[in-house]
Order: sequence, then structure tokens, then C-alpha cells
Amino acid sequence: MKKGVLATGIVVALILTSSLAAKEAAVTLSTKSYKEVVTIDSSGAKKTVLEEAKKVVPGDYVVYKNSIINKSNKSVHDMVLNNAIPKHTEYIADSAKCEKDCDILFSIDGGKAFDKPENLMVKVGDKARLALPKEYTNVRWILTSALEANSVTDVSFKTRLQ
Amino acid sequence: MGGNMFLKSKKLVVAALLSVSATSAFAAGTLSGTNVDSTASLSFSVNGTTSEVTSTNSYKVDNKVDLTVSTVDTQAVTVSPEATNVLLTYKVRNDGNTVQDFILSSLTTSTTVFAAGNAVTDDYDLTNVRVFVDANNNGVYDEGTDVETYIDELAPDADITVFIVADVPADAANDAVAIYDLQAQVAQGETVGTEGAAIATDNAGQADDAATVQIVFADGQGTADVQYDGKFSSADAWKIVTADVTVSKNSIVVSDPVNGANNPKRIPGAEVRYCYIVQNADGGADATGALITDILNPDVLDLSASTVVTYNGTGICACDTDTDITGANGANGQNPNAQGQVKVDFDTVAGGATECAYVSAVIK
Repeated sequence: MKKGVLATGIVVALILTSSLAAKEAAVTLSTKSYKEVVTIDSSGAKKTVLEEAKKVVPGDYVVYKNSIINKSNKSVHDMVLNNAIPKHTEYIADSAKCEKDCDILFSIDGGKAFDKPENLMVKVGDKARLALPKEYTNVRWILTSALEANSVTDVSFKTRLQ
Repeated sequence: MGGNMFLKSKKLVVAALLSVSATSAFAAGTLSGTNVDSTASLSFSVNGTTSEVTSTNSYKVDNKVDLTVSTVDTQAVTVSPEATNVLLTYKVRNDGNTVQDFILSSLTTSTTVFAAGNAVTDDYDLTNVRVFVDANNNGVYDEGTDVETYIDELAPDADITVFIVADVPADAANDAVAIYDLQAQVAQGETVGTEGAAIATDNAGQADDAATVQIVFADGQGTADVQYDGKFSSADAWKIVTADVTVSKNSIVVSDPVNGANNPKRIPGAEVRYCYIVQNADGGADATGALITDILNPDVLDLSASTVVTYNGTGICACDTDTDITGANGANGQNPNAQGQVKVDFDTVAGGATECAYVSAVIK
């Protein structure tokens, strides 16, 4: 009799877990990379456009766009998105953006600690200097407002392939 | 890395060592074929339940073909007729991000080369023109050692010396100029000791593929090629320099028994001065083995007191009575012998130099 109660409890727990998983899957993250390409229109004016990054060589600028997709019927809160600056690339100053209200922090130690650019210092001998953007190792977006049901918001940053 | 980090005045301070690892090891950039992966993670909450999702994006670094050919010589290389294995020296550099072979060729496309002051214009060709790679990259052509005619497996950022080697025809005229372009064309690498096939086109006209290493020509325009063609070229020149020697023999009456030195005439007893002047044109090569042999007729000239005097120096060689020939017999002068033969061995007369010799005789 006790075994029957236990078995029933396990089933209920599994159902709850899978229900929760289904809700979680309603929020997805998509990452795409785009190469900056300079084009010249018929009037001779230069224009920078983004093309999906597939043919990339050293020196090219690549923009990463992370799309937070909320397919559920509930709002999403407390969103914190971390993205390591890809190896072989360097972060371009002031390129991290977000569509919604957010705080943007950076790390120069592989993501152990984050802070604003004006507080990131690099120790050189006995002195310290402000970290260069190309020394950033991670970027973090802390979204300060909720993402409404069935909506999407993007965050992005730009790199240069070394 | 965490051991290097500490908080100071509410600021994040990290040892400078970190910045070193953030830069590429190659000036030419990340090696082709390298995967660049980006991973993002999102934590969030729904109805107080916290969750996390991740997303990744990857692309493969393509082959950026870039190269430079530069001329090492700063002005036309001077050579003499009949010289063999004369050299023009170039550097070929792989500015791309892939180990490549480079096919080499000598062209005669350029008509002028070098900046004002050293500029020359092509009007001649040498013979037996060849191209060799400096096997040990010591900047010196080693005949028999430097025999490779293509560049094998040149790494990104690396450069190597290349020579155009030729022979100078015997009839090459002074100041003739032969200009040659060295052209390097990118070729497939990866097989040591084998000349790879030329990469004639890039993948600009083909669909992008993030998972495949595609070729992107990023080279500049050289002296005999265009931008983005997988080639680069640079010009250099040989300039022929030969000795341009002129020799003159003149005579002047210094005195006669009647008029003395006042408008002397060539009468018996008169002193006649013979002048031999050798000139090598300015800019010409040294004339070596310059030897003058002359016969002064002993039947009509008394040569018993004749002494050859030689001078070396532009400006003092002239055939006039003012010329001081009272100096000692020149080291290379041979006074007239019984047959009246005079010899003057000037040995080497440098380009732009004038040398002269004098000998006096008395008319019988």
C-alpha cells in the first residue's frame, strides 16, 4: 500500500516537472552573427549594412545579436544575459546595446566579476589603468524591465576578428 | 587568473597579463579554418521560478589571401657587359592567414621604376632571365643552393627573399636599362616540396558557407597586377655601365732656336711636346688595363733627352705650353726606346677621370 502511494507521488512529480519544462521552453534564446559590409548606393554614399556572417576573414567586424523570445502568455522577469567575447575576436567599444532598459556590465577576468567600464582597471606593475575594450572577456546585460508575453527583445554587441 | 584579481576602491583590478592573451598571435590575423564560437546564456524567472537557456553561434574563419612583393634595391643595379648571374632582389611576404605556396615569374611590364632622382626607363632586356628563391633566406644568391623556382609553404606573416637572375649581353650599351617585375601568385599549400596549383579565383562569386573555408582575395595592386587577383608584383632594374673612354694625341711647339718661346715654329732644333690624354666619361665604369703605345719617329726626332711624365687628375691635363711637365717620370711611363716607342700604362681610369702623359722631343 505504501509502495502505491510512493509510485503515485513520483508520477505527480514527473507531471509537474514536465509541465514546468514546457513553460521554460516557451522562453528561448537565439544568437546570430552578422558581418558589417560597407555598400555604396547609386548616389555614391557609403552605407554600412549587416549580412549574415558566413564569409569572415581577419579584420572583419561581426555583430552578435541575441534575441530573447518569449512565446508564453506570461511576462518574463529578472533577465540576465551573459555572453563571452568569442575567442579570436575583440570587443568594439560602446557597441553593446539593448532594446529595453538594461544595465550593461563587462568582465576582464573571464566572467568571474563584472562591472561598468569606468571601474574596470588593469594592473600594470605597481599601477593600474583603465581596461581597454579589447581586453573585455565577457559582456552582461541586466534587463531592468520585464519582457511581456509573446514578445521579443534583442541585445547585441560588435567584435572584430583578429 | 582569479589569484591576480582583487578589489580596490570598489574597482575591479586585474593583472595586465590578461591583455596579452587577448591579442592575435599573427599580424595577418586568425588562421583560416579556426572556429569562432559565441555562447550566450540567459537566466530569467517566470512566476518566481528561475530558469536558464543558452544559445551558440559559430562560423569558420575563411582564407584571406594577401601578399606583398617589395623591391629590396633602392635604385637600379649597375652591371657591366658580359656579366653573368647579375641579381635583382625582392621580398615576398605572406600577409594572409593561411600557409601558402607562391608561384613566381619575371615580367617586363613596367616601363619606369624608382622615384625621382633614381628614376630609370626601360629600353633593354637581359638574357637567360631566371627566378630563384633564397633557400636559406640570407639575402645572398648562392648559385647551386638557391635553385627553387617557387615559394614552398610560406607561413602567415613570414617573408622570403627572391632573386631575378640574368646575364648581360656583351654588346650592352652604356646607360641601357632593363626593368623586370617580380610577380608572385598565391597557390595551394599544405604539401611540402610540391608546387601547389595556382589559386586563380576566389569565392566571391559563390554562395557563402559558414562551415567551409572559403577564399577571399584581399591583395593590393602591384606594378604588374590588379587589386584582388591573388597576385602582387614589384619592379626593379638593371642599368648597364660601361667604360666610355676617349684618347687623344696632340702636339705643341714649346720653343724653337730662332723665336724661343715666342710663337715658336716647327723647325729643326725646335722642342715639340706630345700630349696623350685619356678620358673616361662621367658615370661610366672603371676602365682597366688602359695602355697607350705610340711610335715617335726617331729619324726626324731626337729622343735622347725625352722623358715621359704622367699626370692623373681632371683639370691639369691639357696640351699647352703652360703645363708643368718638369715632374718626375711617371711610375707607369716608359721613355722612348731606340725605335721611338713610348708606352704609358694608365692601369685603371675611373669613370669621370682624366689622365694624361707628356713627352718632349727635338726636331732634327
